[in-house]
Amino acid sequence: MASTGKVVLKTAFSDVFRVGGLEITSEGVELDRKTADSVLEAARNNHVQLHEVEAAPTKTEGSGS
Amino acid sequence: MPSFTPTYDRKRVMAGMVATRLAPYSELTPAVLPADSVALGGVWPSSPQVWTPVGATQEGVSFLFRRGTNSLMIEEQLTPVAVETTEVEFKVEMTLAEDTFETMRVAYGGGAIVTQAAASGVIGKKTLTLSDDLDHFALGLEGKNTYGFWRRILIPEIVSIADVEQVNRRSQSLRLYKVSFWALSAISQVVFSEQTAAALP
Repeated sequence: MASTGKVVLKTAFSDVFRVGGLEITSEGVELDRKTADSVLEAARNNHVQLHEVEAAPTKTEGSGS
Repeated sequence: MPSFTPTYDRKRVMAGMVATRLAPYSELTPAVLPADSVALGGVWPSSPQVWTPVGATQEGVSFLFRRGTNSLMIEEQLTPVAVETTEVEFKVEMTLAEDTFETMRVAYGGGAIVTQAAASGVIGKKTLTLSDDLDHFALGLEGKNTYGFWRRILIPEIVSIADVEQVNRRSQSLRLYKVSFWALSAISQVVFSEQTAAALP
């Protein structure tokens, strides 16, 4: 699967992490790598455990069945 | 007279801790155990539900399994003619030792934590809001089995019923949170699995 260069950050349970103008929830928020890294650092500094999953690739023209 | 020793296998006698993790309960997208290829101590999945370790415990993790039965008797026989199950209690108990909001949330039955990150001139802040109703969780356990590989247990739905008396002493004791997780899933839905051998080349 091709990497999208984007990641999804999630909180555990129904927690919320607010940083800058972003609100990370358990539903997950898709971010680019650079933003995700700064959010993860902020999470560490504020003693919050975020979880990172690779963003699903978006369907491009000609792909799929 | 010759001595008699029953047959036994010393290597099957085990001690050791288990790791306990919680995930949100979801009927539509339930939490799953790691893939079989994930080694003991490996990373547990963050999808479809995020697993979170419960952290340190004072004296490890205890399982309680109690099957309530009803003996069906007849006048003509002194032993039961049948024994039927009336109830099963399956609980996982531990005393959590990390004094955090995350621990309190679990110990008090559920809730949500909102964290505002620190920013210029603004402190970082966490707010815990407890749930009126019990939150439902999935509970996963992992330990080392008698073959040296992983043993994993998944209880798909549990609630945390605690009777917490959290003591704050200067130096005599830790701040502890005794928790009791009660299985709500049918006992047949609890998954016990373990690796018995490495994959062949």
